[in-house]
Amino acid sequence: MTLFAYLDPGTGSMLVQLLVGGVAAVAVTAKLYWHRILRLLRIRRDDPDQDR
Amino acid sequence: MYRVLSAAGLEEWEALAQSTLWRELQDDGVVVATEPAQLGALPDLLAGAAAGVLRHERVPFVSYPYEWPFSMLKDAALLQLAICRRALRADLALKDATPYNVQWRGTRPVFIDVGSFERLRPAEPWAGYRQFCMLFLYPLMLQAYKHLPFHAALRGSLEGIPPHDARAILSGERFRKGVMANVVLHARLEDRYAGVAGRDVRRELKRAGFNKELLDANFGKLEKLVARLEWKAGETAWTGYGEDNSYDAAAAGRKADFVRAAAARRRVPLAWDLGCNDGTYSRIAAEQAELVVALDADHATVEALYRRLREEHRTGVLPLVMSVTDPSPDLGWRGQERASLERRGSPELVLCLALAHHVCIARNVPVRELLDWLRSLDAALVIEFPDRADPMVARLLSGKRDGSNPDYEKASFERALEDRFAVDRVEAVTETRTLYEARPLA
Repeated sequence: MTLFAYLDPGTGSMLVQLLVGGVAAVAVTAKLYWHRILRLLRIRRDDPDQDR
Repeated sequence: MYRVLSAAGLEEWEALAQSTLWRELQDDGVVVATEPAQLGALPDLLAGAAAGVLRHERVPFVSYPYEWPFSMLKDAALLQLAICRRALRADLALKDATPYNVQWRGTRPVFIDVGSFERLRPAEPWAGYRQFCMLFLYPLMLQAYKHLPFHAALRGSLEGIPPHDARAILSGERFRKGVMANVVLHARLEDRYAGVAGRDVRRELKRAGFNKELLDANFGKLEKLVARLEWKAGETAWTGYGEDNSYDAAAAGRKADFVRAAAARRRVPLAWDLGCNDGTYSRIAAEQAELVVALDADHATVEALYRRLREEHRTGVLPLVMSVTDPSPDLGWRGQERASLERRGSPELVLCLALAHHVCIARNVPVRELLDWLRSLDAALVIEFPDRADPMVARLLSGKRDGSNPDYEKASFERALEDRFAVDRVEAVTETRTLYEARPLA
């Protein structure tokens, strides 16, 4: 049988991984939200660096 | 067993094969034995599109998570997480997380999907996390927190239990370990971000500094969570059956000798023990057979058997949860992804001890139907027939109208047996129970 092995990780499932790791994730989560706040206040433009 | 690799797959395999991790995993026997093979080893049909080929050791008998007792699924989950952590240290990752990638040598789990390894993208969350939840974590939580057997759910959907469904069942348990984050919030975030492109979230996480340490912390947390999930199986009608059945030690001894002699008379690469209960006769058959697949419909019984076999480091018996009257069917794409029990290898010996009355009376299968099926397996048979006077049979009949299951009667059973099998040996175990050893008639 031929099969393709790429799995869609799911967007919600990616984000919840910030909650699973406990303390280790606090800094990353804070930064994630800080970026969002800056963007909301238009202090910073949307993403300068493009995804691969 | 051959695996054909695409060009991309071949690159990932080479990265894995060059790592020290790979040697360790092979030496530990944790990952199925694998070596590169020549393209010429393949049938022409496949060779065209192949960039590379691997040859795998065969596992003795393929089984699926909807046939495993709780502790087997748990051990498979712990194996998956342990491999994920070890891979991470070697800058590798596993792109999925499914129990269908785990098979068994008796009670030892083996990871079989070499194609699951890829080079690590350290700033990305684990792509397999959702699948891990759906196929490992939620089924285990259902059993541990709600005493709800997971087999029907996993057999009903090969994808497993989605976060929403898990939340519907487990939301009352939100203060139990792991439920809030992995179930409730997981389902909520899935709703909230349903329309957002995965690429955007991945980029955001990367910029916020998602990293290897965080991945390792997640694996560690999940490992701890799974290790703490316990199912207190409790007493079912069957778990005490081995000690508390209707016959005495002398009768049990005669039965053991009978089974031992039948197994010794032939070469038995594979035996089935149907209705294995505490596995007494599976073990006896395993003295001769290379592998005994021990089947019982009662989850708690199979759970107890697996735990005992695991303690003894047994590899000759594979305990599975399955009912003879409702065995695993062909499932998945065109019914070819997961095979029915019978398509996974035919046994040379079938034990059918203290089972006929359950199948024929409790489940109303006509005696001839049962024997037709057993004959279709084309294997030597050891079958026990408890007649209508047997206390266990009387108990099963007591709830029914008088004269129910009239075909369940010793003389007509024997006639039907002799129509299909050559009976080599007959022995009375007790006044009401008889054992038969038989070979299929041509």
